[in-house]
Amino acid sequence: MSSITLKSLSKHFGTLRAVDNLDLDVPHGSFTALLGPSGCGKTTTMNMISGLEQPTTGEVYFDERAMSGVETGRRNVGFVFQNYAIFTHMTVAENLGFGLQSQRRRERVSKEEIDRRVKEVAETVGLSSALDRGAARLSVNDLQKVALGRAMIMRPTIFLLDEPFSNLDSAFRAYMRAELKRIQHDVGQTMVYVTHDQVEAMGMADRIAVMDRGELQQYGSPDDLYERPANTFVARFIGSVLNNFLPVRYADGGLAVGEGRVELGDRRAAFESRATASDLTATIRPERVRVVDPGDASATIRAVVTLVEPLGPKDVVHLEHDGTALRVALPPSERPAIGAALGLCFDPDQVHVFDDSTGLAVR
Amino acid sequence: MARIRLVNVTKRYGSVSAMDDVTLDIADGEFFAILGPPGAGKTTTLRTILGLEKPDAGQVLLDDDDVTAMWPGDRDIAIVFQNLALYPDKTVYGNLAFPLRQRKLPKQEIDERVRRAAKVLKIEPLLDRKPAKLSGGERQRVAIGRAIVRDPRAYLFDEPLSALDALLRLEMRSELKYLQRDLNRTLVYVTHDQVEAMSMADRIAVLRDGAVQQVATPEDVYHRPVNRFVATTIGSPPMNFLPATARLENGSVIVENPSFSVRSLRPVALEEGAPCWIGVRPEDVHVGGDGASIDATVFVTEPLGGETVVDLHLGERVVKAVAPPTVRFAADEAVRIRFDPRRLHIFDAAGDALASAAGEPIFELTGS
Repeated sequence: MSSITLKSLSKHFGTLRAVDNLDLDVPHGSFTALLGPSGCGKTTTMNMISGLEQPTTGEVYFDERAMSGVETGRRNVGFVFQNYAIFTHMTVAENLGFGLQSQRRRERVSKEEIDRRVKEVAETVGLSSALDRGAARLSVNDLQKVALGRAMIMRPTIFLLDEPFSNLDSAFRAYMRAELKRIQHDVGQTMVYVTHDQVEAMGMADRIAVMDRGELQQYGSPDDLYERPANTFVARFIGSVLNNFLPVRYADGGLAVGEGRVELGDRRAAFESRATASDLTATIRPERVRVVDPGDASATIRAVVTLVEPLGPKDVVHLEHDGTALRVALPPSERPAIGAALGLCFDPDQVHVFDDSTGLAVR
Repeated sequence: MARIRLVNVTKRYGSVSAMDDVTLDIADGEFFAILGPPGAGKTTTLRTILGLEKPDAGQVLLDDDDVTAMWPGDRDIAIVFQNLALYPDKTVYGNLAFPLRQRKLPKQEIDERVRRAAKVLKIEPLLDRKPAKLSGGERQRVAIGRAIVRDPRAYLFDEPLSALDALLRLEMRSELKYLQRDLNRTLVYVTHDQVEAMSMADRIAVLRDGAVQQVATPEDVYHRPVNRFVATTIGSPPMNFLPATARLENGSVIVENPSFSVRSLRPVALEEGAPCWIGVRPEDVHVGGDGASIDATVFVTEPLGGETVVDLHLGERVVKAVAPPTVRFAADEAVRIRFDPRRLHIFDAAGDALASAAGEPIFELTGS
């Protein structure tokens, strides 16, 4: 087991800055996700951790040890990829033991030791009852477990997982998410998990590094990203329902939002100390907007329903306010008619404000 | 305008039934989704409507006309594919105008139609650009625009959003629904993504192995799934299933699980001792609170921001619960849970639904 430290890590391909000046501390035993859209640099970062790519500048450390010049095979990292290459002519047990069996002679372990570790790993990943089964007869779900177990049995210092669930359907993904999180909790292994799916990252990881265009946007816990987004990219990227973005103005200790006002209380200092008076954008999550009668005095603004998306447990109701599209989450029992006016009440604690010139949170 | 009907359509490739006695009746102006996993027969169904596939048996009707033998070009239906094939050397304008120029329409009419489609799709500022200079979402809009300019009787969409990033998919979802409302034309939408089907469609057909499982509104496929396959396909995280055994008592059926029992107040077609399944959606599993009496152990807690998914061990099985966003539990913490009896489902051993509460008080929970 080991921690990972990335110091001023960059990877440039010609003029493309795939990863640019990345600093990241992955603590020993943590489950860290690298999250971002395609092209954000997450896979390149992982490849530099494993040694498959050499950094243009900067350094990767495992614990205190610099990794430059250490080839991939000697870094003791375990890989799990989206495309698990399982030997279909072998049993589950043979697949799990394969890595140990084919080690170099002086590192070879005894047959008894291999058997013992195969059983141990099978127990951890939940394949104990399938050890003698041919891999060709396994479900997609179990194949992914074999891939995981095969990496675990080598007892790597660090686990790297690159979108391992992308091939699974959504029901399996939901199941494997919980399984993997629990396995990591039980073995206490340092895991770095690359994904473009914010639900996977939020659900499993202790810490998430959100990346965009080669740059780190925010590094924090799932709660940090959701409740305290550092910039508009994170505020937009995190969440299963599109966040709400509204143009606002600061005035006298509060925000002017359309016809309404949101009082800032103690937060006013951050606004009064701003050097420039650039435009501001406020966000509030769709499920944190309180919906009231349009005539209700507590309503911050009034908006008109344009569309209802029924998702099952809740509806996403789309509204329009002065040319801005907004969304609120409502129980299906409160479904409004298209064209109806609703009062929207913004609790100041749920409102985040960003500076349009930098995209950064004002706080 | 077009009502689209498939009547007992079967299509085989060798021994595989791509479409197995498929009957669908899609209303004029309806947003109709065809949902299923890869290999369910969704695309074959779409190609059959379009005329690219000839059914081995059955009929395809457009309004009251049997078009089963009609050439695709004469059906006046436009399709938008996942892999949008735009002409890279033509501008957006050129791409939109192309199908009209092929039909040798007058220049002025082409111009009017192109500009109207561009306005609807909000791509007017992009008309002079080449596809390489467009974002993924903009390219998708152009592909849709090329269907719109033709002003067809109906639109077929084949997984049009699946190649886009998650965020863009979210944005395009509502835009497509607005678009269909404005166009006021029948739109058949093929997808493997239940959220897309639920959020956009008036009705959803769920397909499996070439056979239609259920055709219903989003509310009905969610609350009254006809079988375990539909119940698992719709909703995320998927429905929980707990094994149970039926017992008859004074004429009413009680289904028993080692942790709890459900008495049905309505007749359920189960015999004494018959194995069955109790289905409950994650948001209808409540951890703690009044009346929580079933012992469970926390497996993991997944904080998702807007909500928290709590995975629990109930006996040998993992049950997922959706809890408020601030809820956190430690691994292996002992908790008590309860199920909302107005949201339970009972399925027989084969997976067919026998009863769904769907908000009605037809079940009573009893301890075991």
